[in-house]
Amino acid sequence: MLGKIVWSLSGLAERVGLSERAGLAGRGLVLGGVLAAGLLSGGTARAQDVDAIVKKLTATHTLTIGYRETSVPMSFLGEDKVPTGYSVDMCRRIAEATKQELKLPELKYAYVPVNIQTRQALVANGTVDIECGGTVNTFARNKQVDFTSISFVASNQLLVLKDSGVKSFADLNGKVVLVATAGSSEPELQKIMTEQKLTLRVLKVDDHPAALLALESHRGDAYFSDNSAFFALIQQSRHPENLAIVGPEIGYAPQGFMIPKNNPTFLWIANHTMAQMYQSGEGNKLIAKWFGPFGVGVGPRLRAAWDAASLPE
Amino acid sequence: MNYQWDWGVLLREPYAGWLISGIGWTLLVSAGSWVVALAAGLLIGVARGLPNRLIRLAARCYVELFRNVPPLAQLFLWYFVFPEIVPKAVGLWIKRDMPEPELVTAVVAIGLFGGARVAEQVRAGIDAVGRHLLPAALATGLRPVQAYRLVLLPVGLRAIVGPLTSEFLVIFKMSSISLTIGVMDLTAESRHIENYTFHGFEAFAVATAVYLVLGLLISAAMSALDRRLRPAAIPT
Repeated sequence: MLGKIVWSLSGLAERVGLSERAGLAGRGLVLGGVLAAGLLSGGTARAQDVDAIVKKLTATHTLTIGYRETSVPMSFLGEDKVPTGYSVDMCRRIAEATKQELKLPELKYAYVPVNIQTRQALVANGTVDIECGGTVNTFARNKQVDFTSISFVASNQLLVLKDSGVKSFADLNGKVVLVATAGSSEPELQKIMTEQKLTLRVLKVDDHPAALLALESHRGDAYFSDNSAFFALIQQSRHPENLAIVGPEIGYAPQGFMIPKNNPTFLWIANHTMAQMYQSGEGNKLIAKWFGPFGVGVGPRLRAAWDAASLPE
Repeated sequence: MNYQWDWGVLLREPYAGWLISGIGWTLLVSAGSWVVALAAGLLIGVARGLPNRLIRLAARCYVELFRNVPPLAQLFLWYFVFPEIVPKAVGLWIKRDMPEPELVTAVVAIGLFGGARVAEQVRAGIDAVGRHLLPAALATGLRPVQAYRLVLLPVGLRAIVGPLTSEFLVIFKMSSISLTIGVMDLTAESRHIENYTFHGFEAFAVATAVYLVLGLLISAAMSALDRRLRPAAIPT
């Protein structure tokens, strides 16, 4: 009994901590700041200059990298509180190439934490030069920002408690399914529900940790989401042995790095560097380094995306 | 700033539907919480003035506890902790089989918080019109319950329609904290739209306007009520 209270209180603390960090207040501030910045700069002035990032790099020698705090193994704060992960490693390679290409004497990094709700706005308004998380490249997002080549391909699956008996989508009838309100999984779930005529209750959650808490406290039976996020959740769980990833892989979620619009030179350097990494085998090494521990390698869809990005010199 | 305004997005489906359903949930949470707050507030407010010391102490504890713990923390306690400390079967029922668990939890949490504040208004109202009415009412032969129901409460409540308006508005705006436990209210749907269209400014601007208009409507309705009731008895 006491253990249960402590357990749920620690979950609560996590939630409160989360809401302090990335919650409403922060979000409001970011939005307010973005709005104010827009108004003060007279609407459309600076960021619409062509190659604003190159101009800034030549002047300040500082690249602003947006990172996620808890997206293991994509982008997260390491034990030394420095951003690390698969996406961050790849971005650092892009940064090195940029330094050489622009012949900068030095290049410093400024790190800005972003979350699902703020990442897009912070790139669109030029606060972040490159967002190194794991953002799915969609046509809707392309209206506001540009994307580099595909860095990783995810798809949607189910994270379940083993004792829930859920093995596939057909088992979801009458169950409670968790889904994040941002991202591509929510419309995908609606589609599956209509196609397979499932009657289930959808519970919307804010982020991955909230979904894990709901799953482990039996508020929901399955979490439908991007499977690249599941590895981190299983690692964070107090009882990883109770969790399982089940169901067929649904959808195609190609991820890339977001860059503010109108930066053709920087985008070219990024895509060129990534193509070189994919051709030289460096990409394989990065996947092995970050995803190997989770038993994930370069699958056929990732290979195909990499090949498509590897244009000849 | 590289932001392309597009107000039309709010008229397109499914986004227009999301906004409207968000308004519906906001009204549901607000109305539900207000009913709970009024009921709890009346009960506790009256209890704070009763002659029995134990009842008075209990009512005072309620007010201090619910008034001084941040409402967001209270919501999380009800949502995350409460189902874990009750017997397992009850907890599972609350989490899974209770109709609309998130809505009910939000209504209870916000309502009980508001109840503590309403209770203070009720107590102040009764005090303001004079506790000396109680012995007078009792002297006419009314029983204590009748004295409260027929004399103290009607007179006392009329005096606090103004402060109650503020409490109503506080609860109405506070309904947005229910999004933290998954209720898709107006604020949540605005964020929802932002996540899919990246037109958060438009969505939040409309949400702000809706909150403002609904808030003004509540104010207007309450002042109309105040005007109707006032000529009856209040010494101003």
